[in-house]
Amino acid sequence: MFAIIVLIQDAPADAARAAGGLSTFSLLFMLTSMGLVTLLAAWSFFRIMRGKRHFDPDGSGPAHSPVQGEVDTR
Amino acid sequence: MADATAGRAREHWGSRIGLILAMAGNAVGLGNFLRFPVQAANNGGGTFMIPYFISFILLGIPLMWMEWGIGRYGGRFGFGTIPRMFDGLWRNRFAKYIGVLGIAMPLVVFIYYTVIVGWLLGFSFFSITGGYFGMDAEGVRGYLGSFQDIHDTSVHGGWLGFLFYGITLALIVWVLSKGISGGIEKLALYGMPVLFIFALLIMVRVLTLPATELGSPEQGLAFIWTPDWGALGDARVWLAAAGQVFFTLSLGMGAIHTYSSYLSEEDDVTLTGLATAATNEFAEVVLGGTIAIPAAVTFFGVAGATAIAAGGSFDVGIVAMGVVFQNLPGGMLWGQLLAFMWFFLLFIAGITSSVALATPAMAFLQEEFGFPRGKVALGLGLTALLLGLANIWWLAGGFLDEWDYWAGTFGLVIFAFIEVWIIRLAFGVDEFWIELHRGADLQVPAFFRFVMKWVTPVFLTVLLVWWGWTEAVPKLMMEGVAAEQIGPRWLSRAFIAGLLFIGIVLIRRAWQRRPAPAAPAPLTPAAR
Repeated sequence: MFAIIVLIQDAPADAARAAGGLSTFSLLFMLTSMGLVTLLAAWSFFRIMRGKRHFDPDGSGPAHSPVQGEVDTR
Repeated sequence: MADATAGRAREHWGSRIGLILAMAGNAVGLGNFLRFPVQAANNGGGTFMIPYFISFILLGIPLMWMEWGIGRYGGRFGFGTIPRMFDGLWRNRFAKYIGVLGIAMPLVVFIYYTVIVGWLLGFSFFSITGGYFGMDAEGVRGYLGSFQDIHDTSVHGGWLGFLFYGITLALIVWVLSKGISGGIEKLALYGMPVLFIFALLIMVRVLTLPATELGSPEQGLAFIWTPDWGALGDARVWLAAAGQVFFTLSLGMGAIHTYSSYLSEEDDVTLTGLATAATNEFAEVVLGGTIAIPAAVTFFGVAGATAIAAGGSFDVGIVAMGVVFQNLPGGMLWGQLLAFMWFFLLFIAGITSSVALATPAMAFLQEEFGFPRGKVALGLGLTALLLGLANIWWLAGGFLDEWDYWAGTFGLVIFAFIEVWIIRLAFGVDEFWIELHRGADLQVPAFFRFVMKWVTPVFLTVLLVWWGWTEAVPKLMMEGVAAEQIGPRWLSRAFIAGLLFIGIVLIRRAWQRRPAPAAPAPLTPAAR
């Protein structure tokens, strides 16, 4: 991991590329890339939070987690 | 397999969010904040993201799922380390010995990584005291060099580096001694939110910096993200992207396996694994892509930032950022506070990775030899202290670089290559697919079954051969190495070989104490 960062010294980037600032295309790439990973992370956590499973390893408990105002008829 | 661990109680994660944060803590490291933006900038800018995302889908996510699946599979039978897992997946007498890579390599990385984490703790402290404030880039470089090198007492006494290394190591030993849910999970539950909050605050500050005569945050972003379409036809760019994905997810270490071995048999690994990978990507692409390089370009210009980066491995993260924080609008106190947040978030990123790297060896010694957790943690801490001192003593001789390359870079690719082919040829991707979906909250698209069967193994083989030919062989032959470094570098390799040898002896001893069962554990019809 340490030497990975040594790669920083390799292949200096094209300085001229940055001189004009962010073009529309660059901005598009940046926002699309960031948007994709943010969406993936948000979607994964949303699925995890939404899909909280009822824990009943031996099957002897109620059929589902308690719901206010509802009676388990099993 | 099941008989061998009858009656043994294993630890478990306390919560799913704790597990995800611990896994993310393992993956999120210094490379997210320092390596990614430079790799992107040097390999086609915005277009780098095309091979990067393709590699993420074809290599990163499948490997992540494989490692989670292998780990949980081992944990189902009470095993938390690679030798037992490989032995269960591949009924071959040598499988367990190959598994030494999953114990010795993370241990090696743990030892030198802890040294680096100690530097970051030191700079967190120096940020509060303002120790390097008032210095230019050369001054901060000298300040860092004197802190790192025991023989350089121009600024600091040789003992100071030891002090922060010792504190870091003591903290790690304490966390490890508290166990999975009581130590590692708690560290992640407190540490990771702090890391993300600090990173977000610094990101906002960097992006709202006013332009200077030399550059602006926008130019820094352009430096990283401007597309260079010609780069898409360059094989090196594709390999650089694949490498970045591979390293950033901390694949091929053995730590993911051990962490997921503490899952219950019916715990989900598909959605949880994906969430971990996504969290790491957020830290890398969103946070890593908007802090160090844009800040450095603002105060040094593109040419200046490139020149600083060329000076050494930590020059962007410590030297350039050390100067950046001194020049922030708002005064010295504000700069010190943000500097502390920067170094401390790197420290958290490092320490959560360190504890993960130590867990395979912890689990091996606890499970195979019955040593109590506290004593194993202390023993590992003392071993790390002893061998970490060797890293510090011969730092200028390239001792640490050598460990980093063979254990922390090339070793990971070798390990992943082996595990992928074991799944592919010995265990079977179809069987593994069933195992992967045990208790799954997410049905993985069938496309990934094909990818695991054909694409990932071939992709990884190409990576291994390419890197082996272009990097590992020249490194092995010491090409371009200064004469005075050859001795320490060979010594460094001898230490790695010694640890591998000790690992193999211990595995042999473990199997003598507790042989593997005669037949592999079949997948139950219910699981199908």
